[in-house]
Amino acid sequence: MDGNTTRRLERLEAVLRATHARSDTPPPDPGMILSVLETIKTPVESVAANGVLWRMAAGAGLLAVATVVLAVFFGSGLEDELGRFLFYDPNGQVLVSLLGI
Amino acid sequence: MAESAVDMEDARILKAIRAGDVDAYARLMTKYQGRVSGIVAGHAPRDRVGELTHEVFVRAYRSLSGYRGDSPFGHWLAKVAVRTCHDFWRAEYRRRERPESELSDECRAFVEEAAALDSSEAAEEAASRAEARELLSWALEKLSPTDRMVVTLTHIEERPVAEAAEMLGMSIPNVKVRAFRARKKLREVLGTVIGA
Repeated sequence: MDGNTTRRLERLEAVLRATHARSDTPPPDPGMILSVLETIKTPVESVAANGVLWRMAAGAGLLAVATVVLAVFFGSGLEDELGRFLFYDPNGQVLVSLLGI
Repeated sequence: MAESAVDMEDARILKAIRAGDVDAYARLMTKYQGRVSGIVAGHAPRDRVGELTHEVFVRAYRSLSGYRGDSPFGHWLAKVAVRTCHDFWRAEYRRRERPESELSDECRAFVEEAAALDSSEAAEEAASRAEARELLSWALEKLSPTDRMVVTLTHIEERPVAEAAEMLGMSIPNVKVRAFRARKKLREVLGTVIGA
């Protein structure tokens, strides 16, 4: 970037600064204060209601997942396999280690 | 010392609010509405100023417990306003609802004219034109939300880095680095128009 370009950019930036300084503020809205008061007087209810909704949705989701898992587990024969895997212990090794003998 | 930073009238109102008189907040809003709107107008589109000013006052009320009175209430409110605008831009950029605008031919011609101005009076005069507003909004749109806020505070409003950092809730070194990079990016953006 040569000196001439830098000077041109600086002038452009000066215009932008002046433009920003001129940005006018819209006239105050007389209804805003009442509207804010209305909002701040009812925040807790909406937040609490929102929290309840989230908890309900999470509970329903958990229940749905548990139902699916149970349906898949019982009826597939997987429970027998798992039982055999966990409890088929002809030499009593698992029992011995569990009891810490 | 902390107490003396707060205007006595503000302190009385804040005490009333903390005691449960929510309506007393209206007095603070009446007092600071113009100032907050002015800050918001400097960072957000004109058609969103009312909505964001409302948001600032709601946020400020909900964070009143965080105001310790170690600075004037107006300063604290200004920080809330700047951070609300920052969040506004972050949300806007996430939504990407705004199409990338292109500069009009009139604005491109204006850029050439403005880059050749040789006095501050001429710059002031040029700033009153619609093309100047279009250029400013177009150039800032090319920056990330944080860069946009940093460059506006430090470079366009020429606030000290420490003040900008405090307003944005960022560290001073972070703002220094960002201000440098954001200004460089802004110059690159402007450079594409003046053919640098």
